[in-house]
Amino acid sequence: MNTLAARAEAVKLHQLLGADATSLPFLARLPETQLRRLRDAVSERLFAQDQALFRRLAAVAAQLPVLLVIPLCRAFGPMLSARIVGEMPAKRAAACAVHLPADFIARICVHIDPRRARDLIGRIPVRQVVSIALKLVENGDYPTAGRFVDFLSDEAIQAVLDTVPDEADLLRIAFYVDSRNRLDHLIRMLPEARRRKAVLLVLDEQSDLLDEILSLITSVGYSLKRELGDLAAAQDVAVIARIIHRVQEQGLWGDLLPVVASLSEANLRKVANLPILRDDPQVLDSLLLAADEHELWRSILPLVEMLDDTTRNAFALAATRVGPAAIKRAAHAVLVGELWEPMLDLVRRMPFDKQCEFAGVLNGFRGVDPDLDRRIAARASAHGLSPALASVGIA
Amino acid sequence: MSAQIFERVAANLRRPADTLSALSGLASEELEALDRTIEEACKRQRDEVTTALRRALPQPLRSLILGKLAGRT
Repeated sequence: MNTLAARAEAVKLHQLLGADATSLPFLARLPETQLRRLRDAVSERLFAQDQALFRRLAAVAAQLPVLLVIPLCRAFGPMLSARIVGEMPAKRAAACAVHLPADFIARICVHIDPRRARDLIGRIPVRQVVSIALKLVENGDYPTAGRFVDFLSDEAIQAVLDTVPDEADLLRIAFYVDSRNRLDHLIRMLPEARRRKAVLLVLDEQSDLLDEILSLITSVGYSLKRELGDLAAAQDVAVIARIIHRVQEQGLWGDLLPVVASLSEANLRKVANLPILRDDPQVLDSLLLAADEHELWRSILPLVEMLDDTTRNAFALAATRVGPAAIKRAAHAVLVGELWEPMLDLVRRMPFDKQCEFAGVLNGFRGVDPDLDRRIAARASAHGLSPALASVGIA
Repeated sequence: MSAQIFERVAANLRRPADTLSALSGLASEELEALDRTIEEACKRQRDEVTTALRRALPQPLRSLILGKLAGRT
């Protein structure tokens, strides 16, 4: 579950319901996909209400000259216009739309479900799309702008990207884009200099775009994760600590760990050895919990080799606090990913009873492959774990 | 109790309950709040439509359409 994407989804649902953004706080607990399904259901419920009437009004409007429909739309207001336009043939609706000012269409957009207006959106001229986008940005209506992104052509998106001058606005729109997997493509449409500028807004404490930046970095594919993640990680230690505080405070480790794992070696070493990770047991506990919940042991364990001795000790101590079931899952990840070295190095730093517990898990792997048994025994012995292995009968 | 409210929310949204399964984990009062907010959104839309029609349409047409709206469920 992408926590930040779920949060964006909850904002869009509140907007659709016309509810205060904090009136249904329990929605934040639901996964993004379920919130999206709920939003679609609410949207369909609202569109189905009085649909027959809207269809009749749309049929009448379709017979009137365009220049008569325009004042009628203005008199009806944005919500009713949205419902009627949604029932008109796309060609006719687009012919009317070109005569309406951008600020009025921006207010209509709030009430439109773009899935139901795909043909109409495709017929709106690019210059008008740009004007509407600028109006939505001016209104601070980023959720509505984000909802429409999936339905715009690359040409229209490029024109909007070229026209919206502030990367902060682009980040705020990107936060609400429905298809997270399209973000990769959209971000690559930005020149590299503007991508860098967007991520470096992490330095701007006043505009507080941490959630938007984290949402972007955690949603894109591996190579962009690495590019954008490296850029953020190359900043001052205080900036990275601020990011970690936010991640900790909002429970975003599950989203962030894959980004950390994608960093270049130098940045990985820098981030992994930050004092905040070493000195705050709660941070390490949350990190390990997220690694277990999101099945990220294979991403996390290689990081151990980047840690300095003191941080490894802190990491090993935190690992003693995870439950036996989690240790079993970690050991399985070790088996699959051949990550014996970092794991055994952690285990050797644990108290003897925890070493024995881990040896018990290893005992379950015996007999799978005699070569593997020999290798584990040899490596464990090199780490001084022979007494623990002997306690469970492994020679 | 919360299972009944969950069924009601799904029915109000005209969705099979299993497509909204994550909602079944919500507490009764949370489901009630969600159901109430959805109903308020529907009512708000209905009121806005009525107001917009009343404001925009000339009298004979307005009476005809608002009469039809009054008969809606």
